[in-house]
Amino acid sequence: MIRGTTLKIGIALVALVFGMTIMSFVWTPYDPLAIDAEQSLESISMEHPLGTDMLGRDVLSNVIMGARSTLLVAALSVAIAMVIGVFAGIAGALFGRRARSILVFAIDIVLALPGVLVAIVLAAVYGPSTVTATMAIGVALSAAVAQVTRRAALTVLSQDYVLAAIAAGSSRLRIVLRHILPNLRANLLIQASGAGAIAILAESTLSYLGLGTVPPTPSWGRMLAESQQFLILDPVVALWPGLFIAIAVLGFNLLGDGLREALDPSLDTELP
Amino acid sequence: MSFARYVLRRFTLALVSLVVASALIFAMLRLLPGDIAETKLGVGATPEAVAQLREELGLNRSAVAQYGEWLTNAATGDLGKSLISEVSVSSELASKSQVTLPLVLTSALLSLILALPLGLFAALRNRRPDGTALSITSQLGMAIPSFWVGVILITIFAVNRELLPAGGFPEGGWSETPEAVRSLILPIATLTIAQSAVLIRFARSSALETLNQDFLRTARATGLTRIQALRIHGLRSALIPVVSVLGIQVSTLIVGAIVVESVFALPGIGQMLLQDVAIRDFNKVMGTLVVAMGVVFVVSFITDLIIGLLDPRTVKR
Repeated sequence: MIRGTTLKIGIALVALVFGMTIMSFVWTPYDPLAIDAEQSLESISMEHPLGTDMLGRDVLSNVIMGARSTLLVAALSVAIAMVIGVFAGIAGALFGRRARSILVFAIDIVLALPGVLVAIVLAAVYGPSTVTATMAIGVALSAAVAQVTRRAALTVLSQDYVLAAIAAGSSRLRIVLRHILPNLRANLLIQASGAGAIAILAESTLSYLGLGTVPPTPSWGRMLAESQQFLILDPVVALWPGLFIAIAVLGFNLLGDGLREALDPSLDTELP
Repeated sequence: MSFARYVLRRFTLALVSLVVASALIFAMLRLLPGDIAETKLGVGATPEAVAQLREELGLNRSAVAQYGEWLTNAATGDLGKSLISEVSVSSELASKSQVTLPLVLTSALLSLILALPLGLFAALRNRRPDGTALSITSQLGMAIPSFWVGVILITIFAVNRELLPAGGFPEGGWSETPEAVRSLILPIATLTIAQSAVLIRFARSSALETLNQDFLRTARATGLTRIQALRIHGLRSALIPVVSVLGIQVSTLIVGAIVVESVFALPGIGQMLLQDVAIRDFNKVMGTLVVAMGVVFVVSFITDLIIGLLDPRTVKR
């Protein structure tokens, strides 16, 4: 692909989803929860650009509100993952042998636990909610962040200037703040973007399964699950939420890839 | 390190991981608000009846003792009984696996057959129109949620032209073979599409990485074509990341099975797990999750072995 295109498309798609989220706080064409039995399963029209669902609710308004739940869960779970992951990853690179091997072992176990299974356990214990979904996705994502962070931190730690700083008596905290974190910045940005894509997919999957955002709060996954029951009457309603999930996931994936292209010049070499 | 020691080490690691993971799941499920005995007997139960059932279920002992007993039983293959139906968990899992196993195994196999050549193709045609088109397709495939693929397939093949069932599995199971096969076609297609998209991308980037290695540059300089060089010198090193992705694939396949069974209302292990969560059947949730984790760790042990054979450097480390 032409250089920079990936990044531009990624930014545009992510901006669209962010825009919808901001818009959901200010204005939606209709009240997303307003039920109107006479307008059930209306097709696309001037009044309802994306039609209405079984209960006569405006689909466009629900799609806009759905962006909010999905993005909120994704943003919070990525934040959880980044905080836990970066701490654990740096600790796993910095500490003594024993602490290090315990951390690596813990990372491996969490990495093997599928996030959706963690969410299922949490939902079994506390009942399905936005909070359990966010926690589960955050914890599950943190292991991957920790693993990548640990590797990158190890690379930084073996650099001559860091060894020199250690020899000169810099404290561990100073090494982390002055050398490791600034060097990880680009890497972390790419990771957060990729984690965002996974989190959005996970949130909508959990909501689809009835383990995430609870009714009546609109969410893309649940909209899809509800419209599936009326496929015979109107298959089009099921299209929209899926389309927007795909746009959001694609946006974050492309943003991550684009950032990697822009920030990692080693990818620029031609094939032999 | 000798290969035997490497195998032993990896095996111990897998076993310890499974025990730790099962302890974690046990601990989390023990946090269950409300008492299992009370849940089982319902709201109207007398305190005496609850106390008696607590005694019978061994709920009065410490959590560590309870976990210890669960673990010893699990080691002999006894995963306990359902709290609701009192059927043994392992026999329930065995009967539900007649749906889940064919679904998961066929999809895994099909997606490998489909994705590996396509990924290699995308790498060899990197930055050419066809290679780019393929990697855009896989990028799109990764973004599309599997349940949406399922719903679209249902719309096309079950609603618009009634070729295949929209969901469900025949009552008689595999004794009604044609119906059973027909009801699994769309679920397998859904899971295969979802898995392939990720695999194509992984195979492509691993092949690209290998193609960029110095030894391959040298092989090309001696006059071999790119495909010859890859076949003679690069296959082994390109296979390593592919084998390691198989380990990761297991997790996504398990989650995928839960989702796809839900889309197509298939009575498999995934659907059972979701129902058990809803009715809080602690024993069955525990057993199912531990078996799922067991599969993940066994596969990761096997992939570790294959990687050890492909790349002796891993064993030495």
